[in-house]
Amino acid sequence: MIKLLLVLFLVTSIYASDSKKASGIFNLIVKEITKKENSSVYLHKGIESIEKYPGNLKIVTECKDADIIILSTTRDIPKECNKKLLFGSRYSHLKNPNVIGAFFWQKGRPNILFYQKRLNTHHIKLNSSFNRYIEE
Amino acid sequence: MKLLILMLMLFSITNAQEIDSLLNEYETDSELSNKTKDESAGNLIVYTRDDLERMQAESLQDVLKSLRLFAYTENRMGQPDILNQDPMIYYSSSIRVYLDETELLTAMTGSGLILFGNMELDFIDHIEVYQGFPSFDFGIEPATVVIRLYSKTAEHDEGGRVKATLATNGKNKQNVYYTNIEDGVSYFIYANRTDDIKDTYEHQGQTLRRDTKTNRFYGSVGVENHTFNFHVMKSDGDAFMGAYIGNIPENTFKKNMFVNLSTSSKFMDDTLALNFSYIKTKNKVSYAYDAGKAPYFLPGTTSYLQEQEESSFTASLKKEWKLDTHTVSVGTQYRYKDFDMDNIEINSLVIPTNQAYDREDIYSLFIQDLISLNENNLVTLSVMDQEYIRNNNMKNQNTLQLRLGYIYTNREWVSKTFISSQQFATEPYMAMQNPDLEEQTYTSILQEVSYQTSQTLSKVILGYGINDKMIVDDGSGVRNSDITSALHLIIAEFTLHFSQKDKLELQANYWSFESPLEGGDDTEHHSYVARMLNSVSDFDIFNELVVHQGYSNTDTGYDYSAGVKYQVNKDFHINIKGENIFDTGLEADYMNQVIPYSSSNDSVYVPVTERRFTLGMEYLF
Repeated sequence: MIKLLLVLFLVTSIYASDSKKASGIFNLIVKEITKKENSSVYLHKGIESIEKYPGNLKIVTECKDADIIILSTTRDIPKECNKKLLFGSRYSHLKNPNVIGAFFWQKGRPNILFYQKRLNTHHIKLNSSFNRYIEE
Repeated sequence: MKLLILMLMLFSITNAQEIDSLLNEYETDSELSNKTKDESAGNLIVYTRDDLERMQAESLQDVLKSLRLFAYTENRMGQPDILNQDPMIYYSSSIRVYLDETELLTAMTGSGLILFGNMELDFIDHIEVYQGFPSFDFGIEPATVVIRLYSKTAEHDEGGRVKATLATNGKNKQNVYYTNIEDGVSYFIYANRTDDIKDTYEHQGQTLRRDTKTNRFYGSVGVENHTFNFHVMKSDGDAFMGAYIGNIPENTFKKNMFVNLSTSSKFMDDTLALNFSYIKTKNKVSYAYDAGKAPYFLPGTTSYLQEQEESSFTASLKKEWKLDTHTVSVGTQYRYKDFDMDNIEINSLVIPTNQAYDREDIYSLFIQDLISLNENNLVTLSVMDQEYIRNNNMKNQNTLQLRLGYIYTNREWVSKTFISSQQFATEPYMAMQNPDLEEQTYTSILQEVSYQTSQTLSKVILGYGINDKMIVDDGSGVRNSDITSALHLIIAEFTLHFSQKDKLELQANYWSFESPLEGGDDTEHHSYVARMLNSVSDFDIFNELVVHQGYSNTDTGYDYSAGVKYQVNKDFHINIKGENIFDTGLEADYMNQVIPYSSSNDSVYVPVTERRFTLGMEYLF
């Protein structure tokens, strides 16, 4: 039986649920970008939710082995990473023109945003289900 | 081929639902309120970030006006006071307001509600209201209601926002915030200016005004488990009818300055919390009376000025241990308060006063044990004690609070029972008027039962309480009542989530309260709330009806408010909101002459929430 009291009075499970869902969203986005079931990702400066719950993502330790780079900051990105697909975890990461999109919090709500021109540069066509998350 | 297209379409729809639904679920699970609320701490009401955004809650008043059991109102000086209108008695001192880990305190009244009850909410993420004599681990002193406001965080609001609103009566507000995390350091800075313009009211040849201009700055910096906060608020405006009965001032003015520095730290896997807070407040109030129209107790007065200075320092340390089925919390707290209200001028002459005392030291200790009997049953036992030490031979006070709670839960049902007996010390504001006032004692039993399904939440709360030695003002001065006043309450609530982003909330509340004044009228107050929140595409729609019946013997008030918020794009939002749209909302009855009571036409009826239409715009950057 589920320990309902613990669910009510402890927050540990809530944090876990948060991270799992965040990682699930990253998984879905990465799969859509790379068109691969099991993509290799390099986490620049770490993304806690993916590190805890990688799902179908394979975390690699060098950019050259990655299909996509997920950023926790746009600072100090290794040069070899710039040749790869960059995906942000904060709205401000989109200021970097090499970042094709981001999954971030804004105004207390989680958001996904891609820029069409940047997707075109990398010849990426997302499924129409992502249309509402693409801006010109 | 057709089959292939059909399959692709189906896949596309499923995928769209998947990503949209995942985002919605992630938003709900990640609400900051999920991480801060404490169901065992009392009868809890949560206004999540999503609720506040979609309700277009611009100020705390917008939330408190539909709070179960109470009705937001303001006293004769235009100051928020949920329970009462008489400025000689501040009944809301047991309603404690917190901003993050810091109590927004005014040393004199004991509650920050008087300064913050209608504070703008543009920097607030979510609100928790704990009713029914909540848990002792919130603060140093006992409370009947705890209102916890949590500021926005860099994690959920990275970047900046500018916002401006303009209302039909001229009320306008502008604010900006910016928040970010860099290298493990998070910060939040916020500045606001509100020009709250309200209607004027003619009475006995004078014009009553209650406009207020407020400026606020709030900043916080967080590093690992340490947070530093800085909060400054400055407001000035009208004092409506003024504090004194008898005649209406020709002109009024009030000014408040509030400065708060606070820190909060957590150690040992967040089981040890250490908080410090320093608050400095300066208040000024002045009235000008026409010649021959002085207040009842101040004959001959044509001008009245009073300045007050208050400061407080609070240090609290709380440690929690998890021992098998017990979660034991022990907290010790210290607070000093000093206050100077000696500066009074009447007709420009300094009036010698004899302030009974000007310093109070409060020492507090609490122990709480949460005992998990099994997976479904929890018992909570709490004891708290305060020692109030006052200078100038003023009588010290010792107050004790006891609380016993039992919580049962299974998949659908939750039952909470709380029995408490709490003594409340006399706040300086009241003790100055009568140094012999004794502790008030509130004893209560509350039973809450709720039933939850995937789409509904139904809740019933029953309560009974007795209040001893309540402070009353019968015209001859403030004193402890000899009458034990009984309180009964019944609350029924129903929430229907008819889709993930659409919900209907219904509330029916009844409470009766025996007057602590001999021959006084008992109160029977009914209130009903219907609120619907809907989201359609990029529109958030809000509808709310708040009905108050029997409150303070005024006519039944029907306050219908509605609003629409439109997300033009990710960075730009506009909203329009109408409050008390039909101008039939609750009115407060302010009487000029109380002693001797003159006649019924001495009353001024003023809407608690004035009819107003507001247009707002916000830009994110």
